[in-house]
Amino acid sequence: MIGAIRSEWIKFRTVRANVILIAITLGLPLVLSAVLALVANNSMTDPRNSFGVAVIAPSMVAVYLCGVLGVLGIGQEYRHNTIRVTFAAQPRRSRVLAAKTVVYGTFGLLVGIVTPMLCLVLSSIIMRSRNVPYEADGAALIGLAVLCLLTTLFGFGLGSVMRQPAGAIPVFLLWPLLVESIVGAIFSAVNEDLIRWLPFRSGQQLASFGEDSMGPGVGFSRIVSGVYFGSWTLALVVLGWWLVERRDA
Amino acid sequence: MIEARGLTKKYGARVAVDNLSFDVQPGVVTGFLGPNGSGKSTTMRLLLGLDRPNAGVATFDGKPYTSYAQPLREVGALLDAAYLHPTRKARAHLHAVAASNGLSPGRVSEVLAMVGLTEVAEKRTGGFSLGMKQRLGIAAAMLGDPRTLLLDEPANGLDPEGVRWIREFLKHLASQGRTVLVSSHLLSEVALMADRLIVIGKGSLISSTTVDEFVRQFGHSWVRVKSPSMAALSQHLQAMGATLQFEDPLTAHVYGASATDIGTVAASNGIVLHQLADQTGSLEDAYLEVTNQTVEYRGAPK
Ligand SMILES: Nc1ncnc2c1ncn2[C@@H]1O[C@H](COP(=O)(O)OP(=O)(O)O)[C@@H](O)[C@H]1O
Ligand SMILES: [Mg+2]
Repeated sequence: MIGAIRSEWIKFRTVRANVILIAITLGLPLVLSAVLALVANNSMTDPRNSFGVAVIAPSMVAVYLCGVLGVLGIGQEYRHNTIRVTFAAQPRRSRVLAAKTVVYGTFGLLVGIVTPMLCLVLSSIIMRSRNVPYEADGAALIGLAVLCLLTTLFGFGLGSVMRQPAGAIPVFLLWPLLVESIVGAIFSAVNEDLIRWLPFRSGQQLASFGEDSMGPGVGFSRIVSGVYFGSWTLALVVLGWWLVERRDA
Repeated sequence: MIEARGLTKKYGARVAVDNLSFDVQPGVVTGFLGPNGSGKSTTMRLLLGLDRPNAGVATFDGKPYTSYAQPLREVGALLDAAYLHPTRKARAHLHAVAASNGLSPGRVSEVLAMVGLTEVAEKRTGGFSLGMKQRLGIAAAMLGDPRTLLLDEPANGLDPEGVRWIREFLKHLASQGRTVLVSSHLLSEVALMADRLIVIGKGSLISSTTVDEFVRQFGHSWVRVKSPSMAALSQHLQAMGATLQFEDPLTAHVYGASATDIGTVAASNGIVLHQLADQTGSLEDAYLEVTNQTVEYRGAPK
């Protein structure tokens, strides 16, 4: 198992697309955080809002990029047929999948912890110098770390089910950004209570902050919406696992 | 030692491998021969547990491939040289494969040197020629110093020197007592490196013999005879049970009699011979003939 994890770790960091994506995942939120801290409005009523705008919002970029990396973690192997090399070297496929889950899950969790911390340090320096009131929200920080872990694994599960990244990445990105926006708009016209059942909307509750802590129209608490999004993630990972086991490589 | 029993694989309605059984012995190179689309690559994937068979089992030294925890130490395989991530460097590719079976980075350097890729080890494989990719695939197969090697069309894309290198390399490995199965759709290629042949057509076994036996069984041999007294000679030969086919009135192809027999008959009857030459139909002809028969047989309405 240690060997399988080491192998996946080597694969993770030796592909150019991954290296570039990792650099963007780590760098872009910091740039956004600095910019948002520079323009943050002095008149925000709740100091937790300036924290959310300068720390949580930029970190969400990293969350989605981690999900893309999760999709690529298995999708690239099918795209280039290296999955056959992988499964020839380790015919117990569940070990390979477990190793990928460990590597990508660890990466997602670390990004979910480190990125908001760095954003917090950077933006607090900037905002304090500009006398913008500022208050960190510990629950949102923990929630964001969990959300980043879950989103990474969500991408990995989706990639296992769909295999080809050319299909899986658009599905992964358009699902929250387009489909849930449209469906959410319809839901809010019909019955606002329905919105809580949208998996990504619910997942974002994990990292909600300030006055919108419960989020307009999303009725689950932070923990319940996390469990709900986690269930979607688990279902996708299990389905992907089952499919990868029984399909031809 | 590889044992395949009743391997069958269907893709939808198409039967790619059909109740295929064979043994591959250690100590010799076994050629796995069949025209394009006959099911060689599918069989290789079935042997390695990559494709799930509809029926049948395959074992390596008595155990199915999937039961080996570190299979690269038992079986090395080159399925397709293109199974690489184009932006990963050669050494990193081998590192990842080696790590999965607990093999050391030092071994990676060894196999890189073995196939002559040390200088391009830090280059991304996307820029490799097909020949370089084949060598990298062979390096990966050799990582665990396995007792059994499976190679799917390893000579594809190699220049003549590369083909010779592969041939000598595989013969050398077999001479160390390893089991070597190497596929090809070209008999001329495989005849040069293999001692035994497993020939398939349309997913079914046609023949599993030595190369020599295959030629005897399916190849034709005859004797070309030229004589100024052909009419007399032909009567003696027909009396012996031989059949003759005339190129011209003084030149015949004699089937069913050896050059020794013909020479003896001629001498004892005082017949002058101008030529007495053994002729062998090429192995390629024999192969095309048997595989075409399979195609025709298969194509016939049931
Ligand atoms: N993954 C697949 N899906 C559908 N058909 C396949 C697949 N792989 C191989 N085939 C079909 O199975 C037959 C055997 O193919 P293959 O094993 O690649 O032959 P060979 O290696 O001898 O050229 C061919 O008709 C091929 O089209
Ligand atoms: Mg093939």
